[in-house]
Amino acid sequence: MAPNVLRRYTPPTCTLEILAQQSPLSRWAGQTVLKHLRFQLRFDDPKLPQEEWLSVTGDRTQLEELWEVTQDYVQAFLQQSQIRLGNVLQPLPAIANGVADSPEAALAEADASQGNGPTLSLVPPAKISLEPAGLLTHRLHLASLAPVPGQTINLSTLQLFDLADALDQYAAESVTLPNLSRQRRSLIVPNWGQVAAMAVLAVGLTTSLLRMTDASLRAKQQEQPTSSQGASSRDQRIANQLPPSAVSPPSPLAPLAGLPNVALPPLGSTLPDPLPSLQPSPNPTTSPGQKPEQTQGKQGTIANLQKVPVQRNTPTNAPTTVTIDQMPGAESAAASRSTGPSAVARSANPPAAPAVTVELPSPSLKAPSRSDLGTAADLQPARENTSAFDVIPQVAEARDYFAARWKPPTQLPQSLEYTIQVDAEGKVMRIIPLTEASGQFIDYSEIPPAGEALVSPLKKGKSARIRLVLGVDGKVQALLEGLE
Amino acid sequence: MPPTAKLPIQSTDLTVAPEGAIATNVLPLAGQPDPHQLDNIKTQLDLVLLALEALAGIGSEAMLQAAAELNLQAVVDDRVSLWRLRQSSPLRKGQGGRKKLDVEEARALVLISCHLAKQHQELIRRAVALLEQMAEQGREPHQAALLGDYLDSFSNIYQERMEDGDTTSADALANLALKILIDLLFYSAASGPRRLWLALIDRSSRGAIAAAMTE
Repeated sequence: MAPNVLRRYTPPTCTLEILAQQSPLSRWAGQTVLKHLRFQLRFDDPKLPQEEWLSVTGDRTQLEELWEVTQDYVQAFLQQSQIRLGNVLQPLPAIANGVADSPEAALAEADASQGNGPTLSLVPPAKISLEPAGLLTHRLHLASLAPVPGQTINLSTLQLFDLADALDQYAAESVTLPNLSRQRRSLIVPNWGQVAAMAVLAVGLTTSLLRMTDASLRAKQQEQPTSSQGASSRDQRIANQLPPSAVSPPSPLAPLAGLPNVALPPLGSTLPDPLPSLQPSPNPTTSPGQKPEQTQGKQGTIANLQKVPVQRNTPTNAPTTVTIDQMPGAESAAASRSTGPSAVARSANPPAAPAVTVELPSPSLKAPSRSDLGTAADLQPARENTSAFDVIPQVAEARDYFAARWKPPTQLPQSLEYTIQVDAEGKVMRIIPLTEASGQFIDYSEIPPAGEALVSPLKKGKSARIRLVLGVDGKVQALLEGLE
Repeated sequence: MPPTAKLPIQSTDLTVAPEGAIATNVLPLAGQPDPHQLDNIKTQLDLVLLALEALAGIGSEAMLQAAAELNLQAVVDDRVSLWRLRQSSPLRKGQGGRKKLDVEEARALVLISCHLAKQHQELIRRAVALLEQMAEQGREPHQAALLGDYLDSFSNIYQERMEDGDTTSADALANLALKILIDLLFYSAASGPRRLWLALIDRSSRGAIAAAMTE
C-alpha cells in the first residue's frame, strides 16, 4: 500500500508534501487512522537547474521542529527591524551587501551578528536551525534532515517566506489531519486492531500459502507423479484447509494488506507530543541564529528517516511460512510497503497471481516441499544481513557490496532504484534504472559496468534479476526479482 | 492533490470576526500596554501603512474599504477616524490630531495592514524578488523601476509627514523603506497579523524597558 499524499503545499519556491498511509485499522477504529506520517520538502530554487534542487524528507517530529525553528526565526527577523525602527532610523546594514559573497564572509557576518564567537562556524549545529547570512539570505542548517551530515542550504528571503508559509499552512491544518496523536485512543486501538489484523493475517497467509503449495505441488507432481511425500503433504494440506467461503478475499493480495497492522507499534509511542500551540511565546532573547530552547528534545532520529520502498512481493520459492512465525519479518514488510508508488504498480501487475508470488518459481527449480520450507526457516534467521526472502546468496552479496560503497550524494532527491541483471557467472548483464533520478545519478550508484562481476556465480539458473534500492539515508536494499 | 491545500489558514481568516471582538485569540496580549508601548506601536503601524501607500498607492479609501471587509467599522468608520489613528504616531508633524490609541484600535490597524498586504502580495513579492536580484548583481536597488519608485515615494511621504523627515538621511530612509518592504512580505501571509502583532508587542515591551532604563 503506497502512502497517500495528504496535503501538498506549493508556494513558488518550495513544495511540501505530507504523506501518510491510511491504516487498515481505520475499519475497526471507526475513523481514519494514519500511520507513517512523513514529509517531503523540496526547495525549488529558481536560480538552480531542477536537478540541483535539494529535497529532504523526514518524519512528523522533524517537520514540527522545522516549523518551530522557522517560526521563531521569522519572528526574530521581524522584531529585529522593529528594534531598529524604534531607535528611529538607526542605519541598517547596506542592503546592497545583503547577499553574502562567500561562505566565509557569510559565516563571519553571522557570527558577528550573534556575538557568538568563532566556534559556531566550525561545528554545524546538531539541530535544525536558521541564521542570517546577510540581510537577504538565511542559512538553514538541516541537521537531522541533511542528506549529508552538516549540510546547510542558503535561502533567499522569498524562499524563507515560502518555506514559512508552507509550514504555517501545514501547522494550521495538521490539527485537522486525522491522526493518532492522542495517546488514549492509540492505546486502545492497536489491541483490537492487532487481534483483528492477526486474524486476517492468519487467514490470508494460510490461503495464499495453500495456493502456493498447491501450485508447487502440482508442478512437483508433474515431475514425480508417484512421489509419496507429495501425496502426504497434500493430505496434510487438505486437512488444514479452511472452507473457501470462510475466507473469500476479493483478491489474493487483499489479505496481505493486513500485514502492516501486525507491525504497528503501540501507536502513540513513535509520535511526537501533541502539536505545539499555534501561539509561540515570543522570546525576547532569541536572536535569529539561536536555536530556540523549546525545540529541545524534539530532535528526530535518523532511524525514522526514509524508509525506502522495497518490493517484498518479489518471487521467492520459499514463501510465507517463514514470516508467520517471525513477526519481525512482517514488520519490515510493513515498512517496505510504506512508500513508493512502484510498489503498487508491481502488486497490481499480475492481478490473478497468488499472493506473495509475483512470479512463480520456474519449473527448472526444485519446487519447495514443506520440509524444505522448514529448513529454510531454520537457517535464514541465523544469517545476518540476510532477508528471509533471499532465495539465492547472491542477493545478500549484492546488498553487502552496495552497503559498503553507497554514499548518497548531496543533492539526491529520492532513493535510487535499479534492476540489475546478472548472468550465471555473477557478472552484470544489464542495468535498468527504474526512475528518472536513478538514471541521472547512476554514476553515484557504484554499480559495476556491464561485464564485470558483481556477485559470485549462480548455482542455479542462467541469470538473476536483482532489485536494488539505494536510499537517500544511505540504506541499501536488495531483493531478488527473478531467476531464469 | 491540488490547490485545495493552498487555502489560507482558517484560524486567521479574520473576515468573519464579529464586530468589536477582534480575534483576541489571534492577537493576544498578556497585559495592558502602557502609553509608552502604545506610542511605539502607533509609530510602527503608521510606517507599515506608509510603506503600503508608497508601494501600492493605497489611499485612505482602500484602507477604509479594508476596514469594512474586516468588519471593523466600529473602530475605523471614516477618513477622519483613520486619520486620527494614524496621526497618533509620535513621529508625525503637528500635534493637532493626536489621540490615544487603545489596544482595540491597534489590533484593528494590524488587521487592516495585513489585509492590504495580502491583497497586494504579488506586488510585494515582485519588489522583494527585484531587491534580491539587485543585491545579487551588486546594483543599487533604486536602479530597478519598481523599487526606485517605491523608495522615492516612501521618502517623499515620510519627509512630508514626519517631524524628523528633513533631518533623516536619504540612506537611512531607503534602508528603512526596504526593510519594511521585506517585512510586508511576511505580513502578507495568512499568519501575517499574528506576526506583526507579536513583533509590535515584543518591540514595545523592550522599548519600555529601554525607556525606563534611560529615564
